[in-house]
Amino acid sequence: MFEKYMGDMNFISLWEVMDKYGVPEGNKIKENKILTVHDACSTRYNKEIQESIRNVATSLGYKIKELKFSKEKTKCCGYGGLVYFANREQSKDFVKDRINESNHDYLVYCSMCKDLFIDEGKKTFHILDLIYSNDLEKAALRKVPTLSRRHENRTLLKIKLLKELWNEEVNDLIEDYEFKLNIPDNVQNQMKDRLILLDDIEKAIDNAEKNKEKFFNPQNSHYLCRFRISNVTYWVEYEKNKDEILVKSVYSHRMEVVEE
Amino acid sequence: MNVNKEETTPWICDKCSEELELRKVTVRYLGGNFEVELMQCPKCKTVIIEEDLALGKMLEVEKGLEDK
Repeated sequence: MFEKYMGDMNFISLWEVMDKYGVPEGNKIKENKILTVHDACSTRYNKEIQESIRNVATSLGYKIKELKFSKEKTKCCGYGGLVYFANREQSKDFVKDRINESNHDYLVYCSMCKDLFIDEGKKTFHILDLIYSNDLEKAALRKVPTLSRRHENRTLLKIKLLKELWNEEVNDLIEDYEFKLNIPDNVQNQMKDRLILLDDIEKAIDNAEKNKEKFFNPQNSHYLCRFRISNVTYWVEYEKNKDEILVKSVYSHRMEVVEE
Repeated sequence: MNVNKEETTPWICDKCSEELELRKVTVRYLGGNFEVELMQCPKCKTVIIEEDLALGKMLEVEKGLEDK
């Protein structure tokens, strides 16, 4: 990317630095475990990065077995070009095609490749797992964080960096709501498939409860509320119990309804 | 994208305690305005979009406009 858009800029990847100066050897293995490298599409034409990944893994005691399509001919992991969001079925087909090319565990150096492969059950190490993980077996099958957890992780990282590096305290990045939510598994799955964040649900319910902007169904005593956040309207169906709000369903649409 | 004219909804407006009525409302997407009939609170004008509509016809229209 840098070569293409910022030709004047000198850069070196972390993997090359690690290759050059060496990595901590605490995780070095004794037996020659075989790993298959899946190259990240964004490094397709960067031989230095591709080689440094292989060198780092070899220095930690691994033996590399190449896939038929690797390096400049690497395949899509199922995320490239945001196909994961644009066409989920196609993305799944890409993942399955790629993970079935070898029975050996995979080694990747892009977090999206890792998440997608593991999601379909392939044991996959990120190069950083090999170097730093305390539990390699666990790391190779660590489940993909939910969309909401990713969102929360980014917020927590921002708070931490602001505090530790810039001495800035921020208090308004995480909202505290008065209600307690119960989101059952089926709704968690809806959130994943429909790309809806916990944050979106909380904002919708908060607005509904504070401003009474909601519908009520006397047949089952459910509430239904909506809240528009930039270009998307989020809908939440919920039930109010004694000390918690049970979320029954969530969905969204992009079309805007002009209420006047 | 019209909803079925005979369609009824169990939902009522919680704020106004009014039953919803099928009314002409404007929806907007990608710079275009369209008039459609949707269930609305006659008092506060809040429009309900139920799950079947949002994930069915509405999504279809959104995709159609995006692909244009």
